[in-house]
Amino acid sequence: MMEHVFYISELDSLKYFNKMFSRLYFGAEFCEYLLPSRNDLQKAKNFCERNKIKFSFITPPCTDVGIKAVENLFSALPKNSEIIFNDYGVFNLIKNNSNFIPVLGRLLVSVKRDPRINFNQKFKKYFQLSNLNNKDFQRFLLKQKIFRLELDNVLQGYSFKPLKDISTSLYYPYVYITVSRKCLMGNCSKVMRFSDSETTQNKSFCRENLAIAELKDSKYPIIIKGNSQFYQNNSKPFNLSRYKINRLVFMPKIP
Amino acid sequence: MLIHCPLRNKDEVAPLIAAGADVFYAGARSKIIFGNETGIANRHPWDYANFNSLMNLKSAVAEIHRSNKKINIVINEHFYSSGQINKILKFAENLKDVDGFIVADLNVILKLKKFLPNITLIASTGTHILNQGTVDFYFDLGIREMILPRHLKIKEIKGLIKNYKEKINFKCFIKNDDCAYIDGLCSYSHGLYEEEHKSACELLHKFKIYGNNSRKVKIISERYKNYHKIIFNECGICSIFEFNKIGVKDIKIVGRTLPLEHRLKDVAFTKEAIQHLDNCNNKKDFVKFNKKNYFIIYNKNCLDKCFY
Repeated sequence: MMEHVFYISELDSLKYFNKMFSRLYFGAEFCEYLLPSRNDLQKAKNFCERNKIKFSFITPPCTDVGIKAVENLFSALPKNSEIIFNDYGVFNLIKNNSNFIPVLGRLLVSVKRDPRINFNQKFKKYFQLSNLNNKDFQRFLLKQKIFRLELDNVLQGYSFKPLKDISTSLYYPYVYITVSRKCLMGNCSKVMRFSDSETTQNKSFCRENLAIAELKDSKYPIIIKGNSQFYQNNSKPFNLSRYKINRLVFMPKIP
Repeated sequence: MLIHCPLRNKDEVAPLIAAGADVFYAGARSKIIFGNETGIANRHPWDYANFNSLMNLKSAVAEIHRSNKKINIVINEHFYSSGQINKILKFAENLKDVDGFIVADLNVILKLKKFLPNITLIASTGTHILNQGTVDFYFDLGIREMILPRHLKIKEIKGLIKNYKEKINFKCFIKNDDCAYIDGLCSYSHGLYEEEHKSACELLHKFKIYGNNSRKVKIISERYKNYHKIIFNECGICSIFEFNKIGVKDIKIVGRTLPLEHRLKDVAFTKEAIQHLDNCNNKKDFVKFNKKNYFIIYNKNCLDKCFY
């Protein structure tokens, strides 16, 4: 049975929600400064209750500041919430907490997401590899009680075989490529000094703007939002059952 | 404080030691490890950045050890297939006398720890250690040496190492080749071979900014016009003033792709900065000394493009 997920990072995007979705992903996947407030988290939870859908909290790579911010939000999460972690430090926080279900975030699935590689048939097989091709890694995840892994709809597809107890989710249509701590959209000061970024982060500034760049040798434009980059893949997802994909995660906007 | 220096040929060992290198790190060409199988050996996979034969590498290791210096081998691509990891295992067995292996793939860590328990593993910057929880995570896997990313700030590094000063050896980059992104979470391809893929971060261009507020769009557009200048920093030499106080004992020069002359200058520049630390209690004086020395050694002004 396929589960359809609605993934947003701003409450404003709830306007795109419709009844086909049975779960909400909410949080910040790329930047610790964009973690929701407790108030916004409560609103998201209320929305889930009203619409009788499930809730998953998505978390970013974190410095110690971000780790504290994530930890502070735990008490606002419903029991048995899924926490999608994109940082092993966040995983370390939740691994012994029976209130939460850990899910390996897509940033921790190492696969090349370089949009140039689709056109390079010579190496296509190589680029279908990921850290999931190694069964020891999957066993390691199972031992840590991680049963779900998040995947991007990469152009080249994958070639791993999921172990028996593993399920996967597929994100579409935006494929994550990379993330930086050097955010050119993080503030509006005239002089950009990354060392100042911590004190001058402005949520509205990075969320209101978008950059599109060209990448030499790629027909796919690179979409830059805040500190992260994506390409868009509108093609039909690859073989869902082969990779035990039982959850499709739709992003109405770039998160 | 020890200077870690990139190496790609046995002939470079003597001049780099004479300049002041204490520890070397080096990679091997993909074909040395994987044979004819397609694979990326490390994060600088280009042929000219790596040793071109195992024999040359082993000779370099012997010469380095004869000089009472150390060498670590880089196997830090973000993932490898099971077959490739078996080949890495053989490669590592063959080089058991090196001092450590710099690794990023969790699979490689698990496998090498299992089958070669006595070798030293060093967490590459590709393990993206940003917080104490991640330090704990890798510590629990048996890692006792960790290379920290360049985008961390001094106070973040201080926070990371405070609980582990005696247990973990932390290393920080000090010179050259900044990474625009969080290395371990970046899925652009650094390339199979030079002619196949250049790093995408160098190839992004023609930025167009979209937004409703024209003032903000204008500010961001200006930044993206200078994207490549803004995003890449160059040097962290002045930060060794703080590193010395907080307990970072190993500093690392990046640049396996750089010519020997460049690396010789980098080692000499770093060595002089370390020596000056003994006579300097004031950060401003230390910065002034480094800027002056930068001009003398590189024959150009410091660009103020600082890590940390």
